[in-house]
Order: sequence, then C-alpha cells, then structure tokens
Amino acid sequence: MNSSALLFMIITQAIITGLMLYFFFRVLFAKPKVDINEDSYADNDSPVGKH
Amino acid sequence: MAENNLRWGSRIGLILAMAGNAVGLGNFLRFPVQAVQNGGGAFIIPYLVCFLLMGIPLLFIEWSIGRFGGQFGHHTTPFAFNRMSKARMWKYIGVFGIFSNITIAAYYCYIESWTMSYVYHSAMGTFAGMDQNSVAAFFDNYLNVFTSTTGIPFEAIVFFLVCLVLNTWVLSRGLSGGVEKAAKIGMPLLIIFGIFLAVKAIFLKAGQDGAVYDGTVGLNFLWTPQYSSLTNPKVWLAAAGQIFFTLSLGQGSVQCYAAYVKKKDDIALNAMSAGWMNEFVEVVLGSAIIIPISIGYLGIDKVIELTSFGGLGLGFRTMPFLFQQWGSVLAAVAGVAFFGLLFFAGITSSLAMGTPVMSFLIDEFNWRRSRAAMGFGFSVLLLGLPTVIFFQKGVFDEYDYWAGTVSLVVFAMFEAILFAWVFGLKKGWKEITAGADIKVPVIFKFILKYVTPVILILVFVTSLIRPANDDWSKVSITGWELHPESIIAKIRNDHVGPNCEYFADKYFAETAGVVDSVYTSEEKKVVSVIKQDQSVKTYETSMENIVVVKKGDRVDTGMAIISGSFVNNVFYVDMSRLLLVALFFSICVLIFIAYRKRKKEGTI
Repeated sequence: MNSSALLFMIITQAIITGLMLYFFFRVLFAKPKVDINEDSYADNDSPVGKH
Repeated sequence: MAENNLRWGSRIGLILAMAGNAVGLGNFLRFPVQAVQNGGGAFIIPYLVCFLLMGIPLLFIEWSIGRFGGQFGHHTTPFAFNRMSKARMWKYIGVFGIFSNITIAAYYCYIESWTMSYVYHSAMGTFAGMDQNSVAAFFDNYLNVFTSTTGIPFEAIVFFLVCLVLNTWVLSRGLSGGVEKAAKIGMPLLIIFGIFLAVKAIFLKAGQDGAVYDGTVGLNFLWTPQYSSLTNPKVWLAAAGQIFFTLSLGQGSVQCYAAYVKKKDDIALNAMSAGWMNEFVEVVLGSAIIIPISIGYLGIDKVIELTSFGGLGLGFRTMPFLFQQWGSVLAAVAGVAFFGLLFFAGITSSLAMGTPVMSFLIDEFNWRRSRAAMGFGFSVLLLGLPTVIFFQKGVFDEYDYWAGTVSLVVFAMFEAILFAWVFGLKKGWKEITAGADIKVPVIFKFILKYVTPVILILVFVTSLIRPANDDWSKVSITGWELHPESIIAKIRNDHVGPNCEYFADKYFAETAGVVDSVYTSEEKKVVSVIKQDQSVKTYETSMENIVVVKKGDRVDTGMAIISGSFVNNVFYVDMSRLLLVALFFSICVLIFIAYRKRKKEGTI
C-alpha cells in the first residue's frame, strides 16, 4: 500500500473504531436510573415490578 | 385502544437491535461499490461529512420523534407527527413511515432469502468445481423462478416463504423475546464472520490459492485519496445517498424502536452508540472484504467493470467462485461466513421494517401481537410475490427506486422541517437532551435548524433534476438532458426505449448494430447483436415468435427484429407503480379510519 492510502485508512478506521468503542462503553457503564422499575427495560424490573 | 405491551428487555439489546436495523446488506455490498465508483479514499471524506451533518442530526430527530410519540401511545410516525403538529397533512406524510417499511420489506426479504439459499449451497459444496461463468449462470438461473438449482420446484419462492415465515415468527415473539434476541445472536456473529473474512482478505498473498495480487492492492485502490473528486457533486450526492441507506433513515423504523423508550431514559447516547456501531461495520469491515478479495483475484479493471452492475452482482455472481480458490473446506466456511453475515445483516433490518407495521395494527386496530405479525407477513407476501415472479421484468428495481430511494429522501426532508421549524427547535432540543447520558454539543442546534434541512432539500431537488452523465455543467435555464435515474426521467419512462407499448406484435431493436447470430437455446430463440462499441446485446424470445432478421443484417434502434406477441417490460413497471400508489393511499385510508376512531374514543 502506498503511504497516503495506509495513513488515510488507519486514521479513519482508528477514529471510527475508537468512537464506536467509546460510546458503547459509555452505555455499558452508564449509571442506572434511580427507579429501575420506571425505566424502559424489562430486564431491570425487580420481580415485584415485573409485568 | 388496545394495550401495546411490547417492551425492550435491556438497553444493550435495544442498541444492538437499532444497530442491526442500520447494518444491512448495503454495508457489505453497496458501500464498497460506491467508494470504488466515487474516487476511492476521497469518497470517505464527503461520506463522513454527510454522516456528521445529516446522519447524526437525523438520528437525533428520529429517536426524539419516536420517544415523543411513544409517550402518547403512538409507536408509528403518522400519529407521532400528528402530535407534533395539528395540521392535517402531517399525519399523511407520516404514512411514508409505514409504506416504506412494507414495500422495502417486500423486496428486501427476497434478497434475504438469496443469502439463506447461498448459505445452504455453500455448505453443501454446490459451487465446487464451477468456473466463474457457471457461478454467474447459477445466480441467473436462481432468479428465474421456474428453474431449480436444488431439485426443489420453485426454489426461489420456497426460500422466500421460509424467510418470511422466520421473520413473522420472530416478530410474533415481541421486542424483548424476538427482535432483541435475534439482534443479540445476529450482531456478534455478523462481526465475528466479518472479522474472519476481513483478515483472510487483507492477508491474501499473490501467488497463493490462485490470487494474482495481494489483498492490500484492493485496499490501496479503495483508500488512496483522490482529492480532485471532492469538487464533483456526484460524489457528494452518492455519499449523502449512502448515509440514508446505511442508517435506515427516512424509513420509520428508528422512530418505532425509539417509541418504546420512556421519557426519562436516554436517547442521545443510544443514538450515537448505534450509529457509530453501524459505521464500524460499514467502513472498517465492509471495506475490507469484497473489494480486496475480488481485486486480489480479478484485478482492478475487471472489478471496476463488475461494480458497474452494482454490489449484488459482485456478491452473488462472483464471490462464491473466488471462495472456491481457497480449497473445498475453507470455501465452504468462507461461503457460510459471507452469506451468513449478509443473512444476519438482512434479518435484523427486515425485523425493524416489520415492527412499525405490527405496532400500527396493535395501536390502532387492537390486533394481538401474533395476529399483527401475521398481518405483516401476509402483506409482505402479497407485495413481494410480484418482485419474485417478475424480477427480470424490472418490478424489483421499481420497488427499490420508489420506496427504497425516493420515499426515504422525501420523508426525511419533511421530518427535518417538521422537527426544526413546525414543532420548533426549542421543544425539539428539549426532547433530544431529556434524560441524556451525554452532553449533546450546542452546535447541533444550528445544524438541526439550518444545515440538515437545507442538505435534504438539496438532495431532493438534485435527485429530481439530475443531469445525464452527472455533468452538472450542462444544467442551464434552456434545459438539459436528464439522467435516466432522475425522478423526472423515471416518471416519464425515459429509459424505456422503442418497446414502449404495453402489448405489441413486434419487438424492436433497442440499440443499433449488426446481427451476429440467431440460434435456439433452452426452448428459446436468441438474437445476438454486436453493438457499435463491440459489446453484445442479446434478445431472447419464446419459440412461437418469429425472428425477422438474419446473421449479418444491420439493425437500427427501433427496427423490428422479432414478430409475434409481446408484453413489454414497461407494462410490469407501470403496474408495479400503480400497486405502490394504491398501497400508499390504502394506508392513508387506514390512518383516516384510525384517526376517526381515536377522536370518538377521545384518545387524540
């Protein structure tokens, strides 16, 4: 590969991969809402709150 | 109104489902072809600019509209739009958010069924020992529903039905039990298959396994920046178009998924996470598979020629042959991985198309979940069969053009205007940032208000009046020749040529040339004409018709070459358009009925 193609590819792919991982990990480690029974996700419901 | 009890199971599940909605066949087949045709590495620059100025803002808009509508129990765009503005027209513009999904699903499920079939054929070793022409002919035969490649009669229809049943079954399991589970299985497998193929492609070595060039030659071709192409409007239009396709924008599916998120929950970070995941799959994996492998075996010139017929041709007519060069075991593994990843990319998208239709039937007509899923499956079957049976008559392309291209742009343009100018950016910004787990940069206020609507209007207007050969210097107030793919030229059927009657007793030559041969093949008469540029044009007709030219005859465009009885392609094209228009207005009627019903019940 010529150096400009290699540089362009590496920079673009690194930025995209980096941002993808950054946002994904932000989601993974986001603080849960105070009342998890009130959120959008059924898996978070406590057995009492489940419906 | 019936209670719509669909719910997401987990946030990761929602993001994978939303990313799966965006990641489709286009990530692996359309993106690399667009990049090759539009200046290689330089295409990436307008592509990323369009992602920032149009893709991300539209993701924010669609997630916000979805969650906003969901608060009032509206999980589809017609009534979500109605909540945003009381003007009557908006709920009918929202119809695009249901229409596009049914129509795209009708032909998309057909392509999805090809991938399913090719997984089977790769695993069974069907392509072993075939040369390149035989693999291409296999695909052509497959598209002809009356031939069978496996011994199963009407094989293409059988796989289409299996694919539809699978989609319907998953949808009937609901969001957390169906769509989300499919995404949790499909997305990781897709990425694993993609990484495996990308590694094979990048480390392809000239002289090994029959490769002529290293895999890096293809990467070099794809990533070498050609900055001169940045001033070409065609490249920018192609980049904007790719952003639409890749993010599933202007379709109504993002809004529907987001409608099941509650007001206090984040949408800004979710949108960014799903959006960038799609970009990773497209730019990092999508660029590293078919182009490096095909250039490694066929060379740059041949691949440029093959990509002129689009990514589907390259994927289905060429890739199975190239995998055969890796030996029988690895060929089967690579074939299963490649068509398997396409299948997972396809099904996670078609499920997203089914959800708005199901939600509409549940919300407005009190249908149960399983019945609504069946309703979607049945609609897609009815609408999809013409694309399967009359594929070679141009029906598939018409669906793709009007529902999969034009509708998306029109819908996105209107929703951007609605969000920023009618609903109002102040309220809109509040919707985007409510419950947000990230700080959305304030610059997006300006982008949402001015930049995105202007870009979308420009994309729509340029699609209307696109000049022939994309030569914008020819555009003048005295008029110019239109590109056959421009909306106006399409409506006027400019591409049809001399066979413009629905029914005719003569078939006319479509180009000038010299008759090279007249022969019979597989119960058909074939006329082969060498055109002035030395390429060959063949005309096939049934045995009952009479060929009125002979070898050596000179033919001009519009000259009769066969006599008998003909139903020309323009008939199928116009009928498919009528069908789409009828579908659109039928959904409008349903919206009207649902609106009256809601009014009566006082729920609107």
